[in-house]
Amino acid sequence: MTLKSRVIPILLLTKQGLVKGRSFDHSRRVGSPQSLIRVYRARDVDELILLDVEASLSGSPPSFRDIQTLARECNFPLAVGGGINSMASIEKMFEIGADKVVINTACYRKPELIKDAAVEFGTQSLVVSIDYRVVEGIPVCFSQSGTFREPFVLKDWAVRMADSGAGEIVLCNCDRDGMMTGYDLENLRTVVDAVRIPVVISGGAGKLSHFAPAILESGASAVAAGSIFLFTQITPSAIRDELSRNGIPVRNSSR
Amino acid sequence: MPEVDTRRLSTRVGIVDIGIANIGSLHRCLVDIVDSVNLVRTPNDLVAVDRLILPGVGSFPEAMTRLRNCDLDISIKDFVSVHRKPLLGICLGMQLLATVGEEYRETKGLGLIEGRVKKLEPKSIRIPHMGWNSVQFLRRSPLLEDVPDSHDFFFVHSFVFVPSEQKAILAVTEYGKQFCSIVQQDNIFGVQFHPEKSSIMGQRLMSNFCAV
Repeated sequence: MTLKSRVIPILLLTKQGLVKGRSFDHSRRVGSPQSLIRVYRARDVDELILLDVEASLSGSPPSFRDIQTLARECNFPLAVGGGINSMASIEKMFEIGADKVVINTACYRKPELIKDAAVEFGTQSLVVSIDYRVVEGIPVCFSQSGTFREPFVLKDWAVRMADSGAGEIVLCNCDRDGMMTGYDLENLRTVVDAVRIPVVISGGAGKLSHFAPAILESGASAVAAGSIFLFTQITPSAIRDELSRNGIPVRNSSR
Repeated sequence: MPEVDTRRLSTRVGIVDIGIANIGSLHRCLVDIVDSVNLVRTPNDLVAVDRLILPGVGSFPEAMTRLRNCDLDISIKDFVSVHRKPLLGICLGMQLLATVGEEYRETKGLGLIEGRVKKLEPKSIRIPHMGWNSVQFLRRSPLLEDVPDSHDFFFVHSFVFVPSEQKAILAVTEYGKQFCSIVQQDNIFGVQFHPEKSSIMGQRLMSNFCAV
């Protein structure tokens, strides 16, 4: 009888289909989003994050139609991000079937957005994703798919976002993204200790042993990953089993 | 892979649409279960439905204002109390069944099941309560037919419904401390979690509601 730790696949969407980045270079195609979402449905995944990386980079609106098609396939929670920069685009995302919206760049450009959205839609469906790189020993925030340096240190920004009304934070160390060498546990711990909302770690998971420490040592509420599901035989339920072996409560799956 | 029932139930389900909830996934879940799903935006729309779902994302005061503005508050009460048809509140929709909500400020709810909506406690837990958590049944109900006790369902919320009467509590969940995760009083049901996002057993529960 307790809240379970979640395992969350991250899918990156472009006009060409799904891609998987390596250190935020989103150039490798990996296939049709719909078929992949069906696979995750069949595998009874805990939750899914879908990011439109092009919308975020080019400043164009998110691909609402593609996302709507994908959302229809999800009988599990779906968080959608990329190019969401206004109250209108947040509302539209919920309308077409997103359960949560993931906002990154717009948080820097429109400081009021999260606050306003929290009042209108409730904090529980607002996820702020924070990308950062460690520059001369200091974790510094980056926006626009990791291309633009922001004048904020990770911890300060995380606290500010939580205070503004974010319901959850997704962290990603850009330099570890796709490298499969393990999560940045140290900066995860710093953020987990600084805020009272759930923190999801992403960026860097490459083998089974990478997951449990993020929860046990650094206090993550969920572990997210992309590459590991595309380039290894490891499945979300294998990770759940691994967490369970480490004494971490995970969900009793329906199958 | 089995997806619960392949036979659709012959009943007309209404989803209250006041513009702030995620209706997409709920709609999608229901069309697999029943042969008629209608959006309810005005009291008139209630005439054509046999049972009603009150979903909810957003804040308690905002949702109540929107319900009142379309005169749905009174007509939903008639729907369950006069016409005795089944109602299922989901997440905020469950909380709206209460007498009073404490989110932002004290706001009158629909008052269908006596109780208050309070912030999750204690302060040491991470809020919102987000993720999969087990739902422990205190008694049996047609809503829980073929749903295993203590199964995990998906929660996203910061407030909880505290019913005045213990007998209204159908199931409980633990986060920080124990709270009411399913409420039932006669033909009125409320679930704090999201069955439409809770995979196969969520669909089973929805299908049970469509058969009560």
